[in-house]
Amino acid sequence: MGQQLRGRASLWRRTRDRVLASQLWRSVIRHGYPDENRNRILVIISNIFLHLHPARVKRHGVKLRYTWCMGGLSAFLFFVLTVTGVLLMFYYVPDTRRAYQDMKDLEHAVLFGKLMRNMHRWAAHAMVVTVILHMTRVFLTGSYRPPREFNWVIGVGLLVLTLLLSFTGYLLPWDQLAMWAITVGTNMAEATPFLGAAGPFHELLGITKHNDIRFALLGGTIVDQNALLRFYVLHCIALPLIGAVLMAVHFWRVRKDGGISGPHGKLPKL
Amino acid sequence: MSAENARSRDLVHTWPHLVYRELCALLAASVVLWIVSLLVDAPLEELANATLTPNPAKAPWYFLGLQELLVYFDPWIAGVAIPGLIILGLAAIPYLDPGEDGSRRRFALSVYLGGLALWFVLIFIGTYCRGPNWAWYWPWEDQTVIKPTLPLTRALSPAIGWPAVLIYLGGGLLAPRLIWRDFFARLGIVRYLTVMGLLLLMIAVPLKIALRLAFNVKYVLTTPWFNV
Amino acid sequence: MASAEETTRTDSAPAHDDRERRALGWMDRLLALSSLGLCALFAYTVLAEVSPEWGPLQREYGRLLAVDPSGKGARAPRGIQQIHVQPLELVDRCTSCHLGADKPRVASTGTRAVLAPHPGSMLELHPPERFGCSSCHDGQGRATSREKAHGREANWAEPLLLGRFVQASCAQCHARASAPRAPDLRVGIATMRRRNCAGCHVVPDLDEDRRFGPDLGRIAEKTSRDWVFAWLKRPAAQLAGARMPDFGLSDREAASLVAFLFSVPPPPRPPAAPVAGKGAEAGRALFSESRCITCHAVQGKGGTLAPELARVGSKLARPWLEGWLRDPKAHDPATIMPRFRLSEEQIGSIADYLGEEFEDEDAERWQRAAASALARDREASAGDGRKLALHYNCAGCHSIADLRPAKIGPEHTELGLKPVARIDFGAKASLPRTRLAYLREKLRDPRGFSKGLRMPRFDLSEEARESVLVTLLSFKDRRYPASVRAAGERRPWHGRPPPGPVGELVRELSCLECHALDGRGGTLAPDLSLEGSQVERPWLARYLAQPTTLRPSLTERMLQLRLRADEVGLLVEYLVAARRADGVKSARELFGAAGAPDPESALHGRRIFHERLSCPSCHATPHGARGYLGPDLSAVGSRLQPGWIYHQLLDPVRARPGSIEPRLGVSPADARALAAYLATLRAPPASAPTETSP
Repeated sequence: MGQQLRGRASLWRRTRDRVLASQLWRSVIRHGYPDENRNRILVIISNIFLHLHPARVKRHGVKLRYTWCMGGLSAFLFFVLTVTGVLLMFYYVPDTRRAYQDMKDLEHAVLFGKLMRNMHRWAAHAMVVTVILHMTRVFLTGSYRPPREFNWVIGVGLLVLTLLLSFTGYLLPWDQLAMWAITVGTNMAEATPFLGAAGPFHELLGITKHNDIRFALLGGTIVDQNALLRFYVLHCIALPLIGAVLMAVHFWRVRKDGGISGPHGKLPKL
Repeated sequence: MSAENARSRDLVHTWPHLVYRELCALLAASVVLWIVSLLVDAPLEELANATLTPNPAKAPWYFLGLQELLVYFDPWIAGVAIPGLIILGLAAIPYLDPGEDGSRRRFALSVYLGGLALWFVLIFIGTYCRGPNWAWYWPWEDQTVIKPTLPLTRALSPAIGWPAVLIYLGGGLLAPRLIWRDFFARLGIVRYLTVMGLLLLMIAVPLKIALRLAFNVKYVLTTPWFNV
Repeated sequence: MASAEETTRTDSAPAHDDRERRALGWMDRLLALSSLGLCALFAYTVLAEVSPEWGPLQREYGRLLAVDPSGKGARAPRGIQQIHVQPLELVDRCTSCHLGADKPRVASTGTRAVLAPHPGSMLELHPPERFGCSSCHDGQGRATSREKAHGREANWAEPLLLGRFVQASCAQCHARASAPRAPDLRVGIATMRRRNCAGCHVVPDLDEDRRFGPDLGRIAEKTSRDWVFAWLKRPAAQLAGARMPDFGLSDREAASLVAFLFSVPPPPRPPAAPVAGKGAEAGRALFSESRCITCHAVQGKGGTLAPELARVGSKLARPWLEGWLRDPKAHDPATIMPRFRLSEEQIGSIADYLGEEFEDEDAERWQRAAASALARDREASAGDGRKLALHYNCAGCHSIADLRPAKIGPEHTELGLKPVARIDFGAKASLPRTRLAYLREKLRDPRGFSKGLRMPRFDLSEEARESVLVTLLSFKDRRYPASVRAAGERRPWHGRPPPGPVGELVRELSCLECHALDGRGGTLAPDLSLEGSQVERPWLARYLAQPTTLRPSLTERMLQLRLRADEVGLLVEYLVAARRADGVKSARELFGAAGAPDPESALHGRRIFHERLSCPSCHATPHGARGYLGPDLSAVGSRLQPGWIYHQLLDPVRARPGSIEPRLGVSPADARALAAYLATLRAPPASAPTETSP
């Protein structure tokens, strides 16, 4: 039995080694099978995606109890949202006369349309949760400490972006939920001091409801076609682009500062 | 050499230790997301209608805490000043942390977790306990029964309001300085003032809620330009 | 995956402690489960996507077509089917399942309702490519699963309309009062008009601002406190078919309202001495001669325009009745009752007759009950009554003192779309949460939902209630473009009302309660819009002075108004001069300078009438025709102008919309000959004309 198993394992090894040594394989992956230290380091540093991590990370840092995986999951959800979002964009026109009908068509007539929309929606909500949990974990472990202070600030920016992305996407289905949630949300902007038509000191700058910050958000005084178009462009182009740039900086700095799950110094006891 | 050994004992190879965990987390998250997406349909209500205002009209859940604060604060505070301060405060955390470990972090942890709890409690209230006219409904109550709107609320007179605020801020800034001297010493004057300022503003939020609920106070301060 | 597990196990880095190893074992299982789960989910998703609900139906339809001899060559559609109607912004995918709906019947689909053709001939009138499905049936046309397509979804405002309720959609394009094939809409809107829903609600199609119930200014002169009390308590008990609903008033409330109504000082009126009649028998003759039952009913027999009279004797005070008969509009400017030119003695006789013959046998009972209740509630004050009258919007129907009417109920304009989530089911939580269930219960028991509701109870029959429900559900406006709306249906009032003294006379005589002018007015009697081109002037004058002879089958009868000669002249002048049709030839244009038919062409016409065409099967003539479906033409020459006869023969439906006269394709020459023949059919000078209808 044990002999047999060993025999089978060696067959597996022989086959594997032959494949790994073939020209085709070597043209793609240049190092050997990562079951010894050299190759384990090579697999990380020679792969652009895995290179996000250093070749070796802190032992305590990879424990699930310590890292919670929330940063990685946030990034993964952003990826899911990008893929499903691009697919949804093929079927969605940001036109107040069509948007709602497009939602219905996605549900009823588009192949996998309903699943794509559901995934996009729930992934968006999940991302808000994972980002907040990630931030909490980083705070609890004190990982924001030097030299990572500024990366925490970027992280706060990413939190804001996540909320804005979710908020702008909220309007796109053009149903009652969308219209009135955005109405409530943007009415708060109207109360901005100095810049909102209902905020204190707005008269000092000559702000009316036709040139205030809410008008800038909506492209008008009510939630209508202009608002839909603005939110669409923000949701699909502007905010994801900014988010991608900030994420690149965020990940880059994590990498430079020694990989996931800081801090460098002593472990805070929880 | 021994330091090098200790360092390598502290480190593990990213492949497979981290990559494997990441793959597991990613696959598990995919399964959960996929199952949820199959079981629960994303909400889609009736076509948007500018003439038909739902009662209550609610913001997305992550902003419901702010909307709930509208009960207790004017919109410019609830919708602009408070979220602005939250973001500023969060961003400032690394620069305010004196870098202590263990039990001495109790202060930092309780402030952060307290703030987070307050945020989610407000979201919970906004989501599940608010019905037509933003009146209070327990989650099991029938929201088709319209409740009477809240009674009118009053403002504190300036003779009480201004001294109260000054005492709160002044006392709040001075008392820890006098009681926990080494707390002040560790932070230094600039960080101490920033930390205490932000902390006092944060504590002021539940305080104001309590004032409103217990004494029906709408404004603590009234000025010709704005009210707080 | 396998490699990852293996490398984890054979890791040569510093040994893991036990906990770490256990954790990794746990993760291996998680990884395996997740991978399997993902594969399963992927397979399930693909399978679910390629086996939609319409799949089996389409395969079944294909099999049925294959075995059906008539379906030879036809192939069942595959995939989602849809009808896209651009002008209506409509996408209906109903035919994905209802595969036979827009196709000819396939014999073998007989047992499968879902695959059957659309019943009836409605699709010929409303081809699906122009109207789709959901424009009539509602539901969610874009959906492709059964429940959602039928609109049974929480956030879909328009669930599938079934059975009679499909009629609710007709009102998107047709006027409710005249929608063809929608009897429920016609009955419903008529019922709502009759019960004056517009008194409290804004109701589409019911926006006339004519006051509705009687003027209560003279109630104290008109009847007794007892009667008003009994009436307020339960109108239907006092008068069969009462239009006034039951407000469910307590004795105290009714007594307060009585106190209020009787505290309003009546407007002054000229003093009139009591008149003596010649007794009930003379009154009876006058009553039937004047054709009062054209509008009033007695014991349920007669018209429905005016109140039932069976028990009126116990209600009315004699002096008031005399004054009313003398000049109804002086008492109540809004009444539809015309002023009959009765002499004082005739007034007395009719009052005698009404007083004696229309006694209420039940009077003693309600009088006693009312009197004792009124005596009990001595404290009921006029002030309370006034508050109640305001609360219940009495002025919505009646004019009372200075009370103003108000639309106290919710608007009905968009009732057919009212979100179910916004309906307050209140105490009736067990009702199904649908708009229809709510409205049905609201009509049945309007105040049962919660305290403080004001809507009174209308005693509607089951049938009438369902018709009203159909109508209520029709109150929505999808704003379809004019191109699909029924042509000529929503015809606005395009003519001018009769001017000056004629106008006053027309109003005083309430002519337009029964007759119509340019589309406005009643439908009981012929449309008079083109009367001047239709009838001979002498006939019209004779008829207005003395509308005696009747067709026995006719239930609506022209009132004997006893018009004075100058009044007759005024009306004749107006009708002849102002109510003319374009393109109707005069007698001179038709017959040449003489203006009269020559005997030769008359004879020719007589031959055409009796021998060539099928006229005798419907009409009667002195020359042997015996038909009775159409009007008797024995004296038609005295009544109708030859030009009109000619005009009508060429195209009966154009001349009189709704006519059942067939279009026989008569040539102009033949029509001229026929007109010549019919013009010679004149009544003997002594006899009166025999037809009211041209």
